[in-house]
Amino acid sequence: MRKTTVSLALILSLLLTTACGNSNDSKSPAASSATGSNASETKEVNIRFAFWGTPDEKLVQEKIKAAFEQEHPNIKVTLDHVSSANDFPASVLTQIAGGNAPDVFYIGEALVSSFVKKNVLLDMLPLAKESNVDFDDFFPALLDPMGYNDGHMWAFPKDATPYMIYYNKELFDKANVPYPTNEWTWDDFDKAAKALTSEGDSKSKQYGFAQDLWWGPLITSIYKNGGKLLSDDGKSMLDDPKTVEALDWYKSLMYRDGGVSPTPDGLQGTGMSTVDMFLAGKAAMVSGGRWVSYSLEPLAGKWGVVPFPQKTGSSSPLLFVTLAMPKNTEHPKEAFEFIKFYVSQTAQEINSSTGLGMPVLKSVTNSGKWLLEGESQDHVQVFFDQLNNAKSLPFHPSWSKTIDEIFMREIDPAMRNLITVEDALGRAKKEIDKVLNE
Amino acid sequence: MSKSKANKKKSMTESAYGYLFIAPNLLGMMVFVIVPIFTSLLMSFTDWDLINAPRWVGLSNFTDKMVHDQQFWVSLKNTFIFSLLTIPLGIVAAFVIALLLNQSIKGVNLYRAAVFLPVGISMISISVIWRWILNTDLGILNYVLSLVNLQGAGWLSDENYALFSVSAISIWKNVGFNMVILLAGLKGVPSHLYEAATIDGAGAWRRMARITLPLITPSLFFVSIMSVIGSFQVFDLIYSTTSGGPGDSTRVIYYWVYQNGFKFFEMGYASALAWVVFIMLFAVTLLQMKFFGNKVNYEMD
Amino acid sequence: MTSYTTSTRVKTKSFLIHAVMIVCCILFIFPFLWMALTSFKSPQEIFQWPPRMFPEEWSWRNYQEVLTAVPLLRMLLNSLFVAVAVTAGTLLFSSLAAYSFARLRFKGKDLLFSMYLGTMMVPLMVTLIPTFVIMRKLGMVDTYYALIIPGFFGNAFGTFLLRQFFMTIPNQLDEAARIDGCGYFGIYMRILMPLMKPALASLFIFTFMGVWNDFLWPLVVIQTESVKTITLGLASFQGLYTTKYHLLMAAAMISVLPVMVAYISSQRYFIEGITLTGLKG
Repeated sequence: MRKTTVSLALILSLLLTTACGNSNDSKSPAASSATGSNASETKEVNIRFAFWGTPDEKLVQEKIKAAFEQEHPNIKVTLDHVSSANDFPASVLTQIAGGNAPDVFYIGEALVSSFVKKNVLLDMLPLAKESNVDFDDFFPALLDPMGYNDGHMWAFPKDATPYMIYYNKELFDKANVPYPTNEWTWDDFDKAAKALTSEGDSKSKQYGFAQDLWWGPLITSIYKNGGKLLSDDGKSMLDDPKTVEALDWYKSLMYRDGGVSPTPDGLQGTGMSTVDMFLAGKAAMVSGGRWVSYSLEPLAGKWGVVPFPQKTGSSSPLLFVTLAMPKNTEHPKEAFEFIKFYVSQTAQEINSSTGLGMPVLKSVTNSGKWLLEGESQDHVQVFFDQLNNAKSLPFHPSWSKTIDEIFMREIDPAMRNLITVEDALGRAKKEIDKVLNE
Repeated sequence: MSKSKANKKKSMTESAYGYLFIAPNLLGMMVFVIVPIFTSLLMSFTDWDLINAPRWVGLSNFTDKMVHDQQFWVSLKNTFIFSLLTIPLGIVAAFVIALLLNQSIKGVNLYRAAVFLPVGISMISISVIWRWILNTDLGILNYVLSLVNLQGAGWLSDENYALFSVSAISIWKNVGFNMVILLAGLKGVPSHLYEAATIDGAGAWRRMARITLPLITPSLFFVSIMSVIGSFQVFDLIYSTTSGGPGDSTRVIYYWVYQNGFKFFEMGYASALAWVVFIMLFAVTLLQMKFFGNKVNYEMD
Repeated sequence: MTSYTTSTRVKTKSFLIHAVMIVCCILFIFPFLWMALTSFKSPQEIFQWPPRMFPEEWSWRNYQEVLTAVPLLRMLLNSLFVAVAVTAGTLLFSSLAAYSFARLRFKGKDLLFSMYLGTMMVPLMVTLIPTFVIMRKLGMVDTYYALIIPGFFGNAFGTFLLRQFFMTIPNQLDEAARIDGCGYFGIYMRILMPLMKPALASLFIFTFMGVWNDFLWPLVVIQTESVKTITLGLASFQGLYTTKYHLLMAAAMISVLPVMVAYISSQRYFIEGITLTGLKG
């Protein structure tokens, strides 16, 4: 029996080493080639690009890769795809620590500064200046969190979106509720949501709105109330009356008048995502970034999109994904060529046709080439208004610990109606200030 | 004289072979167990993000950080509750099933195989399956309950139930393992002892207390040691059913270690946490050894 | 008359046992059955209330979708490769060390052996981070080596288990072989190994299962999709499709089925192997 086991192991090991030989090839020719720009024109260089996403997003990356390689025949891109975004940042850091970093990789906007603090990213500003990247073409709110205003460019935003409200026109018509406007307020929203909520238990009920519980919509609410996260002297503003008011309002959507939105437990219980509920007609409105448009094909022609409702603030924060390269990449020039291509008009049009986000360049907004099926220029114009009028979030190095971890952990029981929002935020502020002081 | 020389030579080659045969195994142990144990102790006195140079911070990970880390205490409490639920219930349930299967009835092998089935399946797969069964609105469990007019619950989404639910999943997965060990112990009890006791007029309970329990103590000991180790180290189950939530309700200590190490990249603090758990686990195991004491014929020479 | 009542009692008793055990079986088998049934249902059927037992139409669509999203088959193969390699190494090196501990005399043996026993208590979390750092130093992070090497040289548990078993084999066998001119390796290979089959089988099952189901170590050390093991693959699939239960169940089926087939076809052997471990441990 052992003999067969051993020989089986041998056979398998042969099989697998040949099978994974392809991906290893990527490093060997690269390692032997010089990094000088002259050499790169003649010799083939291989760079590895790590990203996360669904199978559909992978297809888009393949298109961009193909277009890039056509323009740069001497650079080959190896796509390194991971399905789930959850463990992606940790995974990239682990690879950097392991001396096996990809040459270009995704980072969520919020994590760029923590990567910078760890001193693992290459500042791309010199490279960008050398090749005359037109920074004026970018939406300004996207550049500040990348360190541009302080004379750096740690990462390039590749797509961006504000948090919006999508609504189902049919359900609005049926309930005789006028469509929301671009300037609508919390009161308007409350009225509409209430009119669109039906009686019944959580299984059969139609909700006016399906809430999403993560910092995206919560912080958007705060901004739309004219609040902010950090004071000028770098303290958490979570206990600020504007913040409390905003999150109290968000919470009230789930509990006032029996709830115009499912509660977190209720939502989990349905087994559906908020977009699933919207598609199934069980929620008349849903919030989210442009990635929602992408899922709305079955409702083509029947949906509209408006900004998140406001109280005293009209600016939205932006959510975006960026491209960065590690400090110790062997091919900074080639990696930068790829990133530069990615934020060029050609690639931006390809990338925006995924419907995950909006292009980051103003010059692409009106090309119309990248609209989704069922999406009109009117739809996307609303996004661009928000992009132009956006405020950058204070993405400090402890963002993940303070917002993802502490803020979300403390606000969770409040959103489950176990404690008040004010108590939760008071506790969160205390803990966050402690971390910020460290 | 020549004989002793030959003996010496023989014992020299013998010890050479002795070292040779354990060499690879020992090398592996050294590199991947012994060195890491001491490295992690050293690391627990540092502040290290895995990328930049570690900074020596002395005992402050333990005295300062851990003491004031609420999440540490919460996760410790959850780990204890989890252990107190899973260990006794898991062993008692396994013991009852083993007793039933120790009777001469038909189909014992089939039953045994069924109960043992989840043991070989990965915790991740099992979590995925149970997440679906326990789903609040669509789960089959709440449907079955509604058939008998019982109110279902958010088994994994309600803070009041989540820790109980994951404990139940854990018992469900491991009861088969405990069962076969205990069953083997029961099979080893000579039947003539029971016969003699029955003739002496001993009732079922008396036979249990006087014969069965003392004689299967080694199996019970093994099962309890394995259960303690398993429940202190629970991770996969939490990672894929609840991620520590809702709230903090299922955040167990190893999940917190993992988050600190590989989410916040605080390697030093994560090592300190791991060491504290290790010391506790060690203490509990010593207690168990004391409790089972000389009742166990532990083959250590 | 006495015999009549006893036999009725016996019958009632065995009826009760069967009743309890059948309930048990349902409890242990149903979740897997429900997984299998769900994996063939359409997304609409998942949301149907009351739920239906059987899918309206048996369809492989979920499986197709799952396999295009995440290369689960490749991951199955990875798991198999890693588990076979680690198990082979463990059997070889642990049995050699166990033989040495049980039979050969050399200096420091007792000290080494108590060190082995001591390390059996150390939880994986303690060694996890330094082991990761060592793998990084060796440049093996994110490769098959990282999954194989740490377990390849055997472990304390395996050595301990096999040593206990060696001790039960009478020494006379060795001596007789030695008189016939057999060397130490010859005794190990030709005389003792054949007698060790039950213990080796037990260790085989234990190690294989442990590696196959291992999650935390691969999670930490593997990032590339094509090197991931099946447990990791399933977990990342879960991260991608949190609430798409029809797809999740199909993915779970793919991960569970090979193990289940192996188990059902050899369950007696399997259970006896585990039992042996318990008795000797």
